[in-house]
Amino acid sequence: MNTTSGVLESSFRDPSGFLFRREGTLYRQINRSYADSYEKLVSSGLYEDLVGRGLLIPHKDVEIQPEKAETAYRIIEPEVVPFISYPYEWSFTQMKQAALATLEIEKIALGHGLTLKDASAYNIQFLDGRPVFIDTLSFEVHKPGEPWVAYRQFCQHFLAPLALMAYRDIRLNQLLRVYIDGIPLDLASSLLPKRSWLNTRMAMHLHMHARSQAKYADTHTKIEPPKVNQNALLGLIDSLHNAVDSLTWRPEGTEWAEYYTETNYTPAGLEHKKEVIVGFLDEVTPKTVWDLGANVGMFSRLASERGIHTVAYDIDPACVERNYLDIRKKNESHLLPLVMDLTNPSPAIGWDNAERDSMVERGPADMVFALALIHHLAISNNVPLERIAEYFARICTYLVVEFVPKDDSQVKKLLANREDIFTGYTEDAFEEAFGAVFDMIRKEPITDSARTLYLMKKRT
Amino acid sequence: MKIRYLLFGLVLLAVPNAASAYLDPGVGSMIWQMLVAVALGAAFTLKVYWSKLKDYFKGRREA
Repeated sequence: MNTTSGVLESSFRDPSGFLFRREGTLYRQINRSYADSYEKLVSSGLYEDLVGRGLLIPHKDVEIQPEKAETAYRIIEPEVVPFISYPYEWSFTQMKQAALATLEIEKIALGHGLTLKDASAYNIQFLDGRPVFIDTLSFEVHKPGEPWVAYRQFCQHFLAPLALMAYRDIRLNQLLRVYIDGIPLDLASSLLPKRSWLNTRMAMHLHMHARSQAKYADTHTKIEPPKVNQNALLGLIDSLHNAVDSLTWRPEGTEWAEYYTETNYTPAGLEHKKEVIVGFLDEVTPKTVWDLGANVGMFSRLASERGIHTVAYDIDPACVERNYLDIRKKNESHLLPLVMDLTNPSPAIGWDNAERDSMVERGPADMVFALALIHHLAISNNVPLERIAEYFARICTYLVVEFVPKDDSQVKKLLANREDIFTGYTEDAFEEAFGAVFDMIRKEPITDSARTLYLMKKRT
Repeated sequence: MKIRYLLFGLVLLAVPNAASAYLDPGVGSMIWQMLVAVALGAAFTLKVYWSKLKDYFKGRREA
């Protein structure tokens, strides 16, 4: 939850420190138990190296009263990530980039005499399309001979979901919603096709690794960690890197990836729609935009190109993948594409249902785009218009919404093979339902189209 | 079976200092890491030397 003060509920597992908010600003308390590692992080040059490469979130030291003085060593203020996303919301390449960044960081850290003590996918966030590590307290001094303590976690958080997405089905990263500490390797191994054994790195780091875990599952006597020399560790990291790199997925044949070639807008209609949206953006000047059902992000870019932090949600992993690949190719900023099923958006998960926020808890956005969306929610998912309006009012202040009437060809397609039980789906009913929670500011019919764009403001 | 006990014994004897991290590395994962890291470390060393060798000859050809 976005509280304005107090310790973040996700920040309890690592005794090295924790995140807290004070008067809306995010800080990290570093505990005395982590002092040596923190000093080494800075004095070894690792912090500067990683920040310079854009791999670690920069921070500044601040002189404020600690949140828990009895354990405090110092307080830092990390640069703010505009939107926190989770691995079950990432497309294939986002997940792959996050995995490779984690390995790159571990390799660089070893060169400075430090190591990552965890390899959680939740430590990676996306800033202007690039993966960045956000947990400054994840580094510890590497004692010669020590194995990589996060090897298991890396395989569960990154390698297993990537392998399942590449070898079996792109949707299987949704398993991360169920398993907060990564996909159990025995489950990944049983779901992967037999041909994945032919990839020696998959065989080694997933299948055989899972068997080793099963073999020693009942070992409860104290095991001293085995000795692994530096070269062996670098070999392990190199092998994991090649394992991740060998996995590919090509977005083809899904429903939405070809959407823009199939819409019923004329070129003039599309241009008019863009002009109207730009007019709304210039009128409201929001700081954040959520584009719901963004497809490959054509309209999201109207906002992000104006320097507005924009999240482009779509249910189709192929659209999100294409959107992300475009961002990387063109070095675009301010845009974050994410996989989201709006009929079942990300819930709050983890301990006390408070470790990872739901989609709603990460809002509200200053402005929400709901373009060519309403018919999917009202007709495909049978949500009454009143409830759609109430939901939108919870996630935004300003709403740009497009009403798509029943005689629109896209709506006709939705109704082609089912009984039309939606007698209440009319423009009047739409205006009445939304008028109950929003004030109408503008109403613009789109050229060459039966559709209408509205700018609304949530009533307070 | 004998090899398994032998490996397990080797692991027990390995290093006296305990891991300081808060994360549970998992016994099976640690043992597996030790086994694969030996092979991967050797392969990595060869790879590094091989690329150095290639660079050397490439350099000679260009010189």
